[in-house]
Amino acid sequence: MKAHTGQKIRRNAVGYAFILPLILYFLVFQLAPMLIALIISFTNYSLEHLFDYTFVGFENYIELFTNSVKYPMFWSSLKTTFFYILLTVPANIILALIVSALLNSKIKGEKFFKTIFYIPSVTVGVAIMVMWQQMLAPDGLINQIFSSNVDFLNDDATALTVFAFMSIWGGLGYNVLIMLSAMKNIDPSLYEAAEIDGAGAVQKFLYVTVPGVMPTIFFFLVTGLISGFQVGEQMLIIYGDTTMVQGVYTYVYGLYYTMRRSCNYAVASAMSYFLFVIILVISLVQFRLQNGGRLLSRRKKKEAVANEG
Amino acid sequence: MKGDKMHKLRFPRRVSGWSVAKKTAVYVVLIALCLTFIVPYIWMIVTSLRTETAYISTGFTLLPTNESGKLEFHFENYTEALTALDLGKVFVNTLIVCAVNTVANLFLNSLAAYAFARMRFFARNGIFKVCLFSMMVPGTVMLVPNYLICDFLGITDSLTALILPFVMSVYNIFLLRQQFMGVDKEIEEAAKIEGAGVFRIYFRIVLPLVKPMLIVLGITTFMWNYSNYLWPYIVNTDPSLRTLSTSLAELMGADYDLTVKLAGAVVVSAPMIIIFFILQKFIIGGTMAGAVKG
Repeated sequence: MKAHTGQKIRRNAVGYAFILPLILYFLVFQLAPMLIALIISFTNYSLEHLFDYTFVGFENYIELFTNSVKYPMFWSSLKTTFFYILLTVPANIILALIVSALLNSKIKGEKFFKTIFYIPSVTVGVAIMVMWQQMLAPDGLINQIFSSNVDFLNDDATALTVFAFMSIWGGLGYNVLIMLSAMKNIDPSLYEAAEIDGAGAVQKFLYVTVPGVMPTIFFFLVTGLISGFQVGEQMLIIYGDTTMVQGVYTYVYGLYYTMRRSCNYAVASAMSYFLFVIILVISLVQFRLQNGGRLLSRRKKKEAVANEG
Repeated sequence: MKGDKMHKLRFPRRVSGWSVAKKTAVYVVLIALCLTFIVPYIWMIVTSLRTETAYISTGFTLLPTNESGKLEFHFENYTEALTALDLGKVFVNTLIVCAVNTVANLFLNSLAAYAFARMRFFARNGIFKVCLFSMMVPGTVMLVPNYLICDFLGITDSLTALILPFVMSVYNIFLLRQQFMGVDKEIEEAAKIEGAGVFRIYFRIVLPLVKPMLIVLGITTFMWNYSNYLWPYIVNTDPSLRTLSTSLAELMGADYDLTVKLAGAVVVSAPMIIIFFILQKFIIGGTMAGAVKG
C-alpha cells in the first residue's frame, strides 16, 4: 500500500515536471493577461490616468456601444468589418473550389502551380504590402495596365475592395492546398458512378466534388469568419495608426488606434473583450455543429468499451 | 484512373477530342492565374533595380532599363535600403528572436505534449482541456492583454518582450501530442524494462521518432516569428529593437523613392522565399498538419 502511494507521488512529480513550463507559461502569458485586461476594462486606465485610475464599472462598454460622439467609429467599424467578410469569405471558398478542381483534373505541373500560388504565404506580410502599395499607386503597375489613374488605397470607394482582393490573392495558395487534398480524398467510385449516369464535368463538380468537400467548405467559412473579424493589420501597415480613409476603418484597426494612438488601455481592453466574445460565439457554434455528431459517437464508443470491460 | 480508361473504351473519339480542348482551356486559365502571382514579384525585383525617373517614364519592363530602354542595374537602391533598414542591427534582432523562440518552442512544447500523450498524473485531462480552450482566444485578442502583462512585468521595449509571450504554443503542443500518441508504446516499454529513465526514454527514443513533425514545427515557428509585425509594433517603440518587419514598415512610411522601398521589401522577403523553395516539402507538410486538425 505504501509503495503504491509512493509510486503515485513519483508518477505525478514526473508528469508535472514535464508540464511545469506549460503551467508557468499558461499562467503568466495566457491567464494573467486575460484577467488583467478584464479588470482594466472596468477602469479608466489610460495615458491620462496612468497612476490615478479608478473603477468605472461597465462604463467603457456602455459608452462604446451607445456614445456615438466619443466613439463615432465603433458601429461603422463593425459594419466595415462585416463588409470585408462578405467580400472575402465567399470569394475565397469559390476560388479555392474552382482552382482546386482545375488542378485535380489530371493535369501536368500540379506541384508547380501549387508552389507558385503558395509564394505569398511565405512572403513577409509587410513586404507584400510594400509591393501592393506601389503597384496600386496612381502611377503604379495596375493603373499602367488599365491606363487609368485611380488612387486605389486612398479612395473610399475602392480601398476596402482592394484589401479584400489582396487577402484573397495572398490566401489562395493555402486554400488550394487544403481544398485540393480534400478533393483527392473523395472516393473515385463516386465519379465513376456519376460518369455512368452520364454526368459531365460541371455536373460532377456540382454533385460529387462540392458535396464531397463540404467539411472543408465549412472549415473555410468558420476560419474565414474568425480571421475576418480580426482584419486590420494590413490597414495598419499601409496607413500607420491613423487614416483619413474611413472605408477601411475596421474594428481591429480601431482597436490599434485606441491602443497605440489614443493610449486608452481601458477602452482597448474592453474592445478586445468584445472581439473575444464575437469570436468565441463563432467558435462555439462551429464546435456545436461540427463536433455534435462526433462527440456523441465517441461517447457511444466509450460506453461500448465500458460494457466490454 | 480506372474510370477514365472505361470512359475511353466506350467513347474513344468524342472523349479524346473534347478532352484536348478542355485540357488546353484548363492550362490557359491556370497559367493566367500564375501570372498574377509571378508578375508582381518580377515587377518588384525589376523596379527595385531601376531609377524612379526611368520607372515613371517607361512603366513596366521585363528588365531593369533606363529612360531610353538601355539595360541598367541600380544597386545603389539596395545600399540605400540597407542603411534605411539599419539591416545589421535589425537582422540580428530578428535572428535572436526567431532562434530562441524556435528552440524553446520545440523543447518545451514537446515536453508538455509527451506528458499529455503518455503520462498519467493528477488532473491531466482537465489541464489539457483548459489549454485547448485557450486556443480559442485568437492572437488579436491577446495583443492588448499581452501588452498589459509585459508592461506590468516591466519588459516592454526589450527583445525579451518579443520572446516570452510566444515561447510556447498550445497549438503546437496539440499537434505534437497527436504524434506522440501514434508512437508504438512497446518501444518505450522495452526501454523501460532495460532500465532507462523517463527523461532518457523521452530524449533518446521518443523524440527522434517524431523528428519530421519537429522539423515542420521548427520551420513554421521560425517563419512566423520572422514575419510577425503586430506584436513588435505594439510592444516595442525603441528603434534599436526593431525587427525586419517593423523596420520595413518604417521604411515604407518614410520619404524614400519607391525603388528603395521595393529593394527593402526584396531584401526582407528573399530569405524566407528561398528557404521555402529549399524546404518546400516540410513547409507544405506543416500547413497540411495544421489544417487536418481543423
